[in-house]
Amino acid sequence: MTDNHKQVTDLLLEQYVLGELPRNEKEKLDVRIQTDSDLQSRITRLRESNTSILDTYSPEEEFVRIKQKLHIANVKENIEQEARQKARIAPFGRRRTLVPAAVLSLVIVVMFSVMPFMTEQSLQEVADGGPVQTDDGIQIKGDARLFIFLKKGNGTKELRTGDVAHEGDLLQLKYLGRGDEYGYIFSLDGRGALTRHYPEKGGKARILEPGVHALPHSYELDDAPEFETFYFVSSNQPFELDAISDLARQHMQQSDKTEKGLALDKSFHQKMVILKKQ
Amino acid sequence: MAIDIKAYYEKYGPMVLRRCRFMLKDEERARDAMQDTFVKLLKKEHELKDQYPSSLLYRIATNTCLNIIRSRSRRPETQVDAQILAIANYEEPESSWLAKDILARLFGGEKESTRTIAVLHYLDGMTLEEVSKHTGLSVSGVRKRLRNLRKHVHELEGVSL
Repeated sequence: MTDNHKQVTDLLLEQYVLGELPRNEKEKLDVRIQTDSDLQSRITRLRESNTSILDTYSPEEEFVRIKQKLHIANVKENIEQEARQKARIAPFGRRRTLVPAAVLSLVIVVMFSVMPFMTEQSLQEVADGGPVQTDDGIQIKGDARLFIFLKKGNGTKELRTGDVAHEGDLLQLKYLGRGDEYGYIFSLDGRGALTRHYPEKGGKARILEPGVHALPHSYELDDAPEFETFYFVSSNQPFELDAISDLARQHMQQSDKTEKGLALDKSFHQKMVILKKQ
Repeated sequence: MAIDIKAYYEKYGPMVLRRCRFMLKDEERARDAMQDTFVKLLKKEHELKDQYPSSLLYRIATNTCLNIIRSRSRRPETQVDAQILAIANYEEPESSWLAKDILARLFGGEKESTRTIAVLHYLDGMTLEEVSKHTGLSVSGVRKRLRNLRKHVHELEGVSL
């Protein structure tokens, strides 16, 4: 087959439009394009498609999403690498997957001493834009938040990090949508089982409605030991849930890191509530 | 070589997305695969030589999509061409090194996967010479790989290539 009759592949044409063909190949193609209306049409369509794609998926938005994915990929890789190193150092050691109660207690004191304690009545005030009042009277600016209420008879009691929960407890989760547009709420128990609360299905983070919203289903705690950690991850950009879930599962394997929250890119925000199981 | 992500996306993003659309026939998955393609490039940016990356991105995108098709092929909602599916599910004889970092081969000039070669030849219509140019394999090497794949796929799945 001569060059003049050879099929012009999509990649060849892409490279032509990108200006990345070697000079001799470009010159040959230039000659063909002058007399080949089909090739001319394909090039026109490529250029129109370029414009359309960049209009639909802006470089700014794709930049953030690619950076988020890159960050998650790097963190996962680091965690896996650390796990491999640990396995090499202690080949016969038993791998710890649960967080000891003592570590949890320390976490509770050190990390969550300023977690706001809310009543259901005061949630509306926060939702309306009011500041969040912490236990020690400090007012902090409100942003996306997660609230967990224990159903008790006809009433509810808010649970916060460090509170004790039991098998069979019925929990109502609520979130405050403020600041970020997309969110994902899930929990991990002491066995490492992950439960998705919002959204329960689908692969993408759900849009967060402004204000306080109760999730449609209550959550009953099972007999998993030691703890149940609730995560609320939010961002202004859409993100994939599987990547965050995988990261959380791997993170849970690192008992010395559990208290630090997930290592997410700064375009994410996260809230954690850790309940002790008894 | 440091990569300016935004500039790279502006220049090569449309080409990569078109490639992923062609392979996956699903806009949302194609967009994800396009982003994953850039992530894979960025993870190896220090190994990238100062050359036009369109061919490399095209092959990374192809590999990424083949992996997606392969992982989803057991799910009933998957609808892709029989040829692509057969190629995606092809177990390479060289699977011991296939299991290793596929990117290392792409960047290091080592052997390209047979699956990618098959897509370039059978689906994209590249000649053996063109496949050879883009993958760095000899023409006879490309021919041999394709012959093995053709035999294997036909025996297993009855799909003609």
